[in-house]
Amino acid sequence: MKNILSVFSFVCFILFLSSCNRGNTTWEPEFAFPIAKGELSFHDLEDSNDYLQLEGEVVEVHYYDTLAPLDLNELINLGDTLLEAAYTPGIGIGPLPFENATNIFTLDEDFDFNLDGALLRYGKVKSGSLRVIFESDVDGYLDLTYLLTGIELDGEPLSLLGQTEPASTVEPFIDEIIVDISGYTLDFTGASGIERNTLTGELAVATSNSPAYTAQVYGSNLVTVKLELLELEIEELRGYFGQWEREIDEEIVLDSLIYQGGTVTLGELNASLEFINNFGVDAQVQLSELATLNSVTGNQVVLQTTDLYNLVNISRAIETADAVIPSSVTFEFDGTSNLAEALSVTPNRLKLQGDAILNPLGDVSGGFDFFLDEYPFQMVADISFPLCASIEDLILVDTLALDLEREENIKALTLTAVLKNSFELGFDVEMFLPGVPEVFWQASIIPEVDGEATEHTITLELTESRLDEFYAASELIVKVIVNTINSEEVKLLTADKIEILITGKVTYGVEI
Amino acid sequence: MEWKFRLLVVFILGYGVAAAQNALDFTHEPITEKYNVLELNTEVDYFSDNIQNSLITNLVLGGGIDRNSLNSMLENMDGQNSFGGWTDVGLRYRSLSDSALFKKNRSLFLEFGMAQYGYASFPKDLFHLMFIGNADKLGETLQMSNMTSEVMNYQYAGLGIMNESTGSYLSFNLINVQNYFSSDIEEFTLYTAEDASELELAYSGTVITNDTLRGDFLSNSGTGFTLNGRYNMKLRENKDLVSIEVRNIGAVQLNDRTRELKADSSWNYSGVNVNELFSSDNPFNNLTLEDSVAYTDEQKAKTVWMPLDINANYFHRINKSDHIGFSIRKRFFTDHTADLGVNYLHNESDKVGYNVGLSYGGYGGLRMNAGAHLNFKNWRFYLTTRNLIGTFIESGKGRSASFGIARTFRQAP
Repeated sequence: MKNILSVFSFVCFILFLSSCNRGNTTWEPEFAFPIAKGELSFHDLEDSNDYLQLEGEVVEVHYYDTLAPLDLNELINLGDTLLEAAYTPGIGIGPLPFENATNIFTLDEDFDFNLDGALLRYGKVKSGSLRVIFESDVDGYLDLTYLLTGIELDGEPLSLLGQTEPASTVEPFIDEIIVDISGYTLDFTGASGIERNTLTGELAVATSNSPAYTAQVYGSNLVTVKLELLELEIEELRGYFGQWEREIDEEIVLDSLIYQGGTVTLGELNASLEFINNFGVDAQVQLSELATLNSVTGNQVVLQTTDLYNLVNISRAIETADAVIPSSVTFEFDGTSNLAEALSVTPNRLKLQGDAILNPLGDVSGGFDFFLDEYPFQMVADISFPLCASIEDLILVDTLALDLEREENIKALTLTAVLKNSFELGFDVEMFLPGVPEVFWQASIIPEVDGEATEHTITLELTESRLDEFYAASELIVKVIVNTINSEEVKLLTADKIEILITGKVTYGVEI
Repeated sequence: MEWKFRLLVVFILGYGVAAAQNALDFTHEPITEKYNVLELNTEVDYFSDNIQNSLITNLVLGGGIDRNSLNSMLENMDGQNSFGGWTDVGLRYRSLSDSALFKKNRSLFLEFGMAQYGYASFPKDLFHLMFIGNADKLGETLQMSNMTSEVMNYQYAGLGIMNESTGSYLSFNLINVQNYFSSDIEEFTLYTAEDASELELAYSGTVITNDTLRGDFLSNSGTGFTLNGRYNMKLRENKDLVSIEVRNIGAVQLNDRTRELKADSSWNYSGVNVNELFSSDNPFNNLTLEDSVAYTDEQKAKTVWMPLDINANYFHRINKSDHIGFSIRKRFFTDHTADLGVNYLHNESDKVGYNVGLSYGGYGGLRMNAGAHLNFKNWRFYLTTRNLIGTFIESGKGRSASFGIARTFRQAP
């Protein structure tokens, strides 16, 4: 009985002790802390946007861009040409035995480029390679020395050495070499010096010095050399380039920011589209359509101005000792054009369609067309205007990537943003989480009043469940709707800014 | 660091009753009977000048601490506050002999146990930051300088010799340090701007801690030794007794993996630039307080003195059953003042006795002591508290309990 009582007492004691344990100790202090501070102004866009000019009081936009350069490499592609030359010993029927290190024959041969109307005299390679394939059906070890006198670097011709082994009875022996010819010059005038599209090569065939094997050479034996230019980029080209016609069909991305709608009506505008011909070739250009497009809304406006869709002749550039003087044709978009309407759709694309023709009148230069890679044919848009606009429901959308780790101890978070807006613009800001239909956070920021910035204190209270949503999201979609008061035209000043202070108050669940 | 915080609090419970008040020397009466003794003594004691028991209860036993009680506690705090505590669970075997160490009336004893102590002296604002936060202190500076704390969790094994006729003893204890933490924060201020746009932190001080996150039982973070001793002096034909006891004379050597963190710096934080919020990189990913706050972290061996504990008593025998005792005790914890006490002890019979008394000092004010002991055949029990009222009310500022049980083995005459 005493033992039972003892055990019972012990069990009661343990139960008493365990009942005292009430789990972890918890309390919830509240901490206040800064999150972010600073200001948003046009100056923040200076580094990433080349088009803004912030020297004056009013922000000016100067959009200058080369829209669609014509690249002669696309028109005259030497790399597509496979050149081939076959050499025979010329020794009768044979076979004749040749001891080691004995010259069998030496022959000159020209390679002709078939360039569809172009007659090239000279070129310089910017980058690329030359693949050389030697084929021999000679029954012997051969050293093939190939001197390409038309391809030079610093005055030295390109010399290639191939080695072949005895061919089988059914197929020749093949040796392949690939040489980097970046920086080499190409002389297309051949051995005579008056040819065009012709490279000269000299092949020396000799039995090899090393193997103890007597070559048996027949008069019908064939040694073939194939040349192929790989991934060739031309730095300089001279001659007659032929008559080329190219269709222009470009859709040019203007900006990565996504405009989802709204209109911006600009005040004073000054714009031009200029065709600049740096080629030593006459050209003709005729546009069939030039249009601004908002790819999100689908809104598109075809630009109209005087002579824009007429055929224009652009004469060749002139080369001096140290420069190329281009010729150009410019279309001005003045008050009679519809450029303002075209920009009001907040375009993020520019569509360009038409035709360009080189050498429309043939070889009027007598074979002295030239192309220098650093002087391309350009179509340049030049738009400048002070940023005075009336804006109605301009919708800007951006997506911020989120990569946040959920801190379980954060029980609640209150974010407070204090904003001072000195823009003459009102902003309605909405934030969404992907897959969550309701607005995560929204705020209305009214424009400045009588030159004084308006101050706004906006609070976002995040409960634990809303925090879970926020942390689970991979991105935050920010939508800003911009308006001017009563859609009146306002000047956007370089001094305009939004001062922002974001602070947080966190309820932190301490658990020990 | 959570365990260290809990450890600090738990060990603060342990400040206590005068040095091991054992079952058989409750009244410091000379030992006249011949027996061997196996005894288990436990004690838990903590007290504070301003920390209420409800908080300690929550911290030790768990549960939520509501803001209202924290605010109420804060209102009653002084600028500088302190608390300390002690726990000890020990097993002792004493063998009486007439011939120990070739002298009469000497006995040897062995003891093993585990003990913890801790104390802290902290500013009110530190409590505020830790439990309430800084959200209600916008535009103000939290002054948290001058904070010291020390916590040690250790095991001991000792060998001692006792004079059977006087109760005086001397023992030597080996110490195994399981966990150690101390801090000496000279400067610690936190300013929060009125609009919470800026935090300014200034700090200097030293923190010493063992290398492991939390040493397990008997894990070794350091080794040392202590001497304990008591000298009893009888006066006026045993009618009076003067007893002076000194414990924890010694030191421990923390091992060479002990971390010493030193800092003397300041840190300002005003958030990230707004523009960074809209960049592709999350600006908060690379922001951690630990990286931003400058400090040195060095691992090296460290010698730490054990906190000395001096206890002096004067007992006066009124008659055969009644005694009165006066005591003064000083523990060398930060801010601990000498604790003065008076006790009345009454033996109802050979089997039952009790004591009541008052004490003043230490970390708190006036406290009531009480205790009782029971002898039953070969068993002896005692239960005492040095804070009778505080132990049972949540608004008290300390608790104390000491319990002992002993089994005697009489020697053949």
